[in-house]
Amino acid sequence: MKKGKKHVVLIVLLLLLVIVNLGAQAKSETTKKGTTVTVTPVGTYPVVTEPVSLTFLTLQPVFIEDLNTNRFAKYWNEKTGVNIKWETIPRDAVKEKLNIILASGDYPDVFFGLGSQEQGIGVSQEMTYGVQEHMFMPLNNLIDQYMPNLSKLLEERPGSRQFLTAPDGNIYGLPDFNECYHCSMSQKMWIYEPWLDALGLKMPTTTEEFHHVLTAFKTMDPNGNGKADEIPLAGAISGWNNNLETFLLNSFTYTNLVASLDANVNTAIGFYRDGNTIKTMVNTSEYQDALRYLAKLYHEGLVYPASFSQDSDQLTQLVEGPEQPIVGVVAGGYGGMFSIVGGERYRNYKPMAPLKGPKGAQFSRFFLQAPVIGNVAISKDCKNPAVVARMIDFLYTDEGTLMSNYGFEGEGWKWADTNDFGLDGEKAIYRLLKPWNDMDPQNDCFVMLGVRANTSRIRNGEAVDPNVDIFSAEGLEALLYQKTQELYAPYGYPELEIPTLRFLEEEDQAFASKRLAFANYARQSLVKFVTGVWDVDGNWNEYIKGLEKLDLQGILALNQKAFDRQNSAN
Amino acid sequence: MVKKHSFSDISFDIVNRLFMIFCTLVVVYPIIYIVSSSFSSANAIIAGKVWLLPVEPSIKAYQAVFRNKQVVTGYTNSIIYTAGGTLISVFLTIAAAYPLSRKFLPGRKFFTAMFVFTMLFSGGLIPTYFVVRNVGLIDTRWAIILPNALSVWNLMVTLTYFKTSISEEMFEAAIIEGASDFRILQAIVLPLSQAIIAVIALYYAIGIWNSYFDALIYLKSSSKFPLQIILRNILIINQSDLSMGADMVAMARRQGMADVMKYALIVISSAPLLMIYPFVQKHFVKGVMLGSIKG
Repeated sequence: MKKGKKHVVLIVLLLLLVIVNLGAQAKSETTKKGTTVTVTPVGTYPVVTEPVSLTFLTLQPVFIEDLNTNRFAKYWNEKTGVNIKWETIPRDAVKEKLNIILASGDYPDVFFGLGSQEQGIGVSQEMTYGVQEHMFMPLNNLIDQYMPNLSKLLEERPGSRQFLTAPDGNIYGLPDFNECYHCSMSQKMWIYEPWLDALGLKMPTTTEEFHHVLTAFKTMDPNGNGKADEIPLAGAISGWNNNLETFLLNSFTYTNLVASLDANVNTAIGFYRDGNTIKTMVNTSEYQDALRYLAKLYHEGLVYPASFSQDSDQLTQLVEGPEQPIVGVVAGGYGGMFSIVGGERYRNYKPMAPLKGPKGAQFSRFFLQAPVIGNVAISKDCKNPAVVARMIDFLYTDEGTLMSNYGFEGEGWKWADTNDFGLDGEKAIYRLLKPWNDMDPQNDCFVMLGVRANTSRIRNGEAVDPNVDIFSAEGLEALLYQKTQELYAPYGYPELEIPTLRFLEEEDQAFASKRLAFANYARQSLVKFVTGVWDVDGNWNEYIKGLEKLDLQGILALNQKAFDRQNSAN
Repeated sequence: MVKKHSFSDISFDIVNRLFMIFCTLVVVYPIIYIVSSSFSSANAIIAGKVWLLPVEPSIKAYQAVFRNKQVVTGYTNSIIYTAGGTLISVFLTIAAAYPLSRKFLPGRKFFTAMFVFTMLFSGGLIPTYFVVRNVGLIDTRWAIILPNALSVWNLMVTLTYFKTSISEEMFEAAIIEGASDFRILQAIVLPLSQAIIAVIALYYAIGIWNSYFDALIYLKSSSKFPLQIILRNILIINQSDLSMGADMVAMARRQGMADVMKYALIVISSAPLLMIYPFVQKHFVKGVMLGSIKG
């Protein structure tokens, strides 16, 4: 009997404790949005005549300890005279959160840094929350009136304004510029140089030579262990440009087609631009030639069969795992996608320029370095949109960008000396004082949150040590810059790529599933042809019929329509 | 007396034991693998060299995880939510199960049906959000604990246990002695139901510890996020799109570390429950032996 009583008393006591503890944390949530304040003339700081408070909804960044005490956030607040009240949401809740905000009317003033990831604010969210629901405010006039720095960036990049504009003619999200030179031609292929040396072979330059090299790797035991364990060519279905097929297809016809199923349906399903005409290569005889070549490599056992099923981690294990190297040629955006950066094997894989095909085709797949959209959106209830525009514009200055990236001058970075040179060999703009770190939490800067103007000018303006060993871990940026310029840039044609297209709601409804079905069919057929499930000649007509059945012409026409609309809008 | 084992007996034993050893290995190996991986170097994991014991042992992953203050905050929060939530949940479950288990409760069938109804139908995300918002729970710790405090499933389990394993004679005896319902609950039902209470407490604790979605929807301040959200954030950021990356050198350094951290995070997040389990398990076993009427 006594025991039972004790239990109850204990439970009640604990309950009380918890209630008191929790109650202390629960605060009333009744602060309402402030009133409109006057902004100061453009170009002066602070941006307001009297302090104002704004709510920013943002991601909870792992690499920032606490936005409320972040030193750059404080500096920004003091400089602009705007006090930010931060609300954070977990990284993958953006979609649900936007829905709930829309339904409940709990609008923040600003949606900050929600753009740059899969679930974030993208083209279709701008369509839903901007064009249809009017939850976001149109920003066109704000940009013209209050954002000289952003306006200049847009002016310098023809087409970028159209790229930001939704089909109704409004801009709903501000862009984050991140122009990475080597990423624009990152469909790279790497060859194990010691094997070339061991067999007395030269770096292949044509598809014919490449075939010869692969055959030699397979048959002539370049690793010298007496076993035929060599894998001439390997890739992976996922990972940053670990797919081997696209590099080789580009020796026959320009294509961005990727077999990977998680590739972006909007950009990587086999369309290209010829002047102002949208075309496809998936039904051409050049593409058929390319498939025939790939199928031959595969049939002769020169391609690692799992390349069309394994992921990039498995590829790395294939390259790094065995006692002796067994992989001759491997695809990847950089060495770290298949080996340990700075390690023995990493150093020995040398980048290979695009190969010249039998009919002279030779292309680098081009990735347009378009800004990331949707990183700043202003809600329709915001009383002070001009203030937001003024304060955000600071982030587009060199100083704002560098501080947002690296923290305070003299701590994380400093302006370059006159004898510092950047990645591109031009005069440097700044020098980093600490290595870039987006893994350990810090509280000095925003690292990658929000918007920045990481233009190619800024990125290539980082002072580098001219004597760095480019095949060491430290020399990675220099390696990628130099090799991209030397081997890939001569074959890069940005004018062949189609910018991300924005579709109208009714177009999306009619075509979204068609585009997906087409993309899947094109990719699966590619793999079927290469692996010999289908015969490149025997099943070709059947394949073409399949394309037509999936309304290839209709999709082409739709792309053309969207492109024309975007191209003519000003 | 010792019977000579026939060949088939012996072979059955051998096969049986081998099978049990196999089953144990299947269960234990993944745990060992994860723990070993979490103590290995990033390069060893990338190259696929870890299969049983840690290779190039290091505690870097744990250092990296705990250097993150958010992990510590998340841990504290999760412990608060789990401890507080379990207490409230168990209290509510018993408070609901006892009356529903007594046959003379007026409208018993109606109340039971109402509870069961919620197992099948719910208001959906947005209406639930409105309820939580309108009672002022948004961005409070209560939002994690209260909306799902009572699990009807656990209520049914408890209810059934009360009905079947405590005999009616006990209640009659107690009533004749003049005991009130509260007295009966304290003095008879609770002591006899320790086993089931331990079980539902464990269910609740595991549920709250692993829960994730409520925090995602209802919380705004990162200082209140539970561990699961922080862990997910760390894992996602480590897999972020490479082509977006600002600096390849950092990417390279991060490569691999992400893998090791993944294992360390799994170990860290499941450790508390693994540690609690042996203590609760004692009740599981003991509970079976308990009974009120002897002979």
